[in-house]
Amino acid sequence: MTEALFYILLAARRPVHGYGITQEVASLTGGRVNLGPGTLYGAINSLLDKGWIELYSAEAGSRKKKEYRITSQGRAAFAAEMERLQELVSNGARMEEET
Amino acid sequence: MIQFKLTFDKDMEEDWLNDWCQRGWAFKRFCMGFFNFIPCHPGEFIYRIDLVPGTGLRCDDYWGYVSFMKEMGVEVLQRWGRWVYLRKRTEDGPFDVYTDLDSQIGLYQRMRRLFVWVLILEVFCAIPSLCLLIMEPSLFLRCVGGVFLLIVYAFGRAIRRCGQKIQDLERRRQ
Repeated sequence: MTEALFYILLAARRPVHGYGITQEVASLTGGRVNLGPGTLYGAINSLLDKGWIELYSAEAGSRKKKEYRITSQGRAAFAAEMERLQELVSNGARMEEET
Repeated sequence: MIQFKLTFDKDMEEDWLNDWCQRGWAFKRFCMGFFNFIPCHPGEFIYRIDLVPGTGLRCDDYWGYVSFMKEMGVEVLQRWGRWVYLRKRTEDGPFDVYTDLDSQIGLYQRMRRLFVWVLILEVFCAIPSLCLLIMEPSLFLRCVGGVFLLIVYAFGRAIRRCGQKIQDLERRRQ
């Protein structure tokens, strides 16, 4: 899972707009991760295709201001990724201590 | 003001548009290599070029893409097939369409696929003219053949440049 996908899933724990995702990710990472509109567009479509996020709402009669929300499949994928990352960190820390 | 430029290099074209903007000319419209510029404050906009996801010359969801960009504060100025010209006001901060290596590689892969697709189409369309040229090498057909070779060269070069960009980005990712 790329960093962009990881943070989008994290931001989509509450219904959130595309612009809201970029703001939240920048805030969470202290400005280190800035999602460009093309990166975000591709990542959102990829997550929608996988069924990891869903369209929560869109303004009536408009294509603007779509909100996205994580699905149960997305939560499972996110949990699996967290487990993988924790394993990486704990193995790294253990090996560092041993040497 | 109208300027003519024909290039298939996205980065070169972006630099050229931003250079004109720095000189006080804002790109407004494009048609067949002709770019229309109007006066602006020097450096008022940042221009970027993107290739909308899709197949061949057809976008998957062009209006969805436009709405999304609008929501992100990006103006979609012009569309040429899937090739789109974007801009944002400089005062709104830095503007890069793709901000991670994976999505940057994805863009150049899409561009390379499009150029290969157009090149194949071009070769297919030129076969009757080339057959005639072999049978009856008139001046007109030689000119047509020359133009065809130029187009093949331009697309071949664009495909090679995309390949080089992909390789550079993949090297940085490792």
